[in-house]
Amino acid sequence: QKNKFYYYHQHFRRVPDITDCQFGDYLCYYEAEMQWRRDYKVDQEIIGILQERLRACQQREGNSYVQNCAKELEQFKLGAKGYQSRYGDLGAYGSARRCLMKQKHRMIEERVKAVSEA
Amino acid sequence: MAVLSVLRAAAALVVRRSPHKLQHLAGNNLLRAFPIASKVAVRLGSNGKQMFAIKSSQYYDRRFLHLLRFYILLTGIPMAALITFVNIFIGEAELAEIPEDYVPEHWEYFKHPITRWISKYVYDPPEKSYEKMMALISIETEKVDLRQKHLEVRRLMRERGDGAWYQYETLDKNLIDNSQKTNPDY
Repeated sequence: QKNKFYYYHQHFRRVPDITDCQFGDYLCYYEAEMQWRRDYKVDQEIIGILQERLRACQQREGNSYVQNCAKELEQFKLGAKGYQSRYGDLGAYGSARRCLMKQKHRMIEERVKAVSEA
Repeated sequence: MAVLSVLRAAAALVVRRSPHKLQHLAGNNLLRAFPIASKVAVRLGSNGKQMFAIKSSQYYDRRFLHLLRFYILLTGIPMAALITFVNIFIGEAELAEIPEDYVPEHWEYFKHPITRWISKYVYDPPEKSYEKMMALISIETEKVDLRQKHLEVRRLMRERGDGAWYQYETLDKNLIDNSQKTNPDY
């Protein structure tokens, strides 16, 4: 091949989050929303890679995958639990705002649970 | 069918008349293995009754499938050829670190050469659509602000009465005739 050409990974600058935006500052909302969507995509890819690792491990080990793949299984379980609790049931119209509301509900439940246990 | 049977009879006669001529014609070595036509037991199976099989017409179905194949392959084959040549001769891009002080163009973030071409010549850079959206949002924000201010101004001018709006013309008080007010009504 004579002419080599390259492709790069795009670096995006970090912009203020939704929680750092003034109320009614729609431009800030838009930038935070775009950043949240990019992070969502990155998280999806991460989960995909963990799945691939687990799949490859199972294929390699054959019938003894239950005990030999414990590390990959742990990684995947951790990642999947975090993904589910953060992005889990947002649905097709998920947005940064809805994700924030989900986090708020999660924190409320944690607080209620802590109070009821104490 | 009748024509076919006549032809078949004629062919059988020719072969029967000159059984060895075929072998002499085509050279002895090759055709020596061929059996002589008159001596082989041939089963033609022509003693059954001729039937006309009543089926539904397959003309329309075959025509449809022919046309489907034709129109799909009309653009399918050039596209497949193009994609094959691009994959073989041009090849995909390699991943590299971004060099210092270099800002890659928006198409240099893709791997396959055809995606790069589409991103370069057909699509707008994603920065452009981002900026366009931000412009729209800023225009709408300004409109919202102005409308809110408008409503607030109306409310205050009506309440305080010293503004430019809500000024109504009334009669001059020197025109009022007060003479009937000097006498009581009894």
